[in-house]
Amino acid sequence: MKRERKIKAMYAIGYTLLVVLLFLGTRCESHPKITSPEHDSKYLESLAECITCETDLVIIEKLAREYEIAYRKGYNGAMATKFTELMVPVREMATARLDAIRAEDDYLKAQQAEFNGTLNDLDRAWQMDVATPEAAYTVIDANDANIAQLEASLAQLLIDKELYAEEIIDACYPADMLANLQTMEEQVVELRDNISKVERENYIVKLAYRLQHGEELPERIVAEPEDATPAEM
Amino acid sequence: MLVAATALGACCNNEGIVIDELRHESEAYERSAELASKVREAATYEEFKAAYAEIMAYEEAFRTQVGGDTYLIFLEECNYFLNEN
Repeated sequence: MKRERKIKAMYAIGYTLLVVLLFLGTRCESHPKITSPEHDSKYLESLAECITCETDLVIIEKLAREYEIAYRKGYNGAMATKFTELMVPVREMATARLDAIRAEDDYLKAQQAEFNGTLNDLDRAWQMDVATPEAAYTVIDANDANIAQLEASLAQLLIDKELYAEEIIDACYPADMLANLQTMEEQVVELRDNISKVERENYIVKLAYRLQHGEELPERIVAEPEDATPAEM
Repeated sequence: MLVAATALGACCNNEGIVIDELRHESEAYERSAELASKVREAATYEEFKAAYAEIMAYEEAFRTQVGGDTYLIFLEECNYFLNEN
């Protein structure tokens, strides 16, 4: 009986110790070592200057929040607020730096796309069947007809869009109509892109003729209309 | 003739392209003008294919060996000369 009580007591003490250790363990999470708001914000600023990607910005944001919590716990709300205020320009600088990096990345991708696109166009031009000017103009005429159709569709869509926009204003901007307007705007962009693509095809046909024949595609000879009235003397 | 053809093949093989570490920027300017001109001035499809392979090999070499601003210079200059009227 005595032995059983001893064992139970040991279990209770052990369990209590475990709970206490766990509790202390959660309190021992790593908080940054705070010094002063000025010094710590300068430290984070030095990190922000080295940002190279989105992940870096996320890490700095996380660190900033940990510092804010540490100031709130270690000092008071006033110190935490001071730190937060000092972090405002740091955050702005970090965001601006990331935006600049993204812009550089976009520019590089655009240059790569242009490089590959130009070489692919040249490759297509070399393989295109433009044995005679007539063959070239057959393709160009078909493209021109396509462009005319697309431009007519675009003109009509722009008129419809303008009228629809007025209806939206009269109806006080309902969400579904605004969504429809957005779709129409996307269709305008798509039509403009398609027109550009077909115009590019005409450019490639002319390029193909020049590459394969060593001269520009000759202008089509159009019969001149007879003069209806004699020129005044 | 065979030696010349082999030399042409070797220079188009990316494994043989080593970008000069010390003058990579100058090389980007020089190579882009030279290679883009070869592409534009090709008189036959076969010549174009050889010039195409060579410019692509140098593009990969600049991208993988140097990168950064020098690679961008190479691309920008190639684009300028390829699209020059």
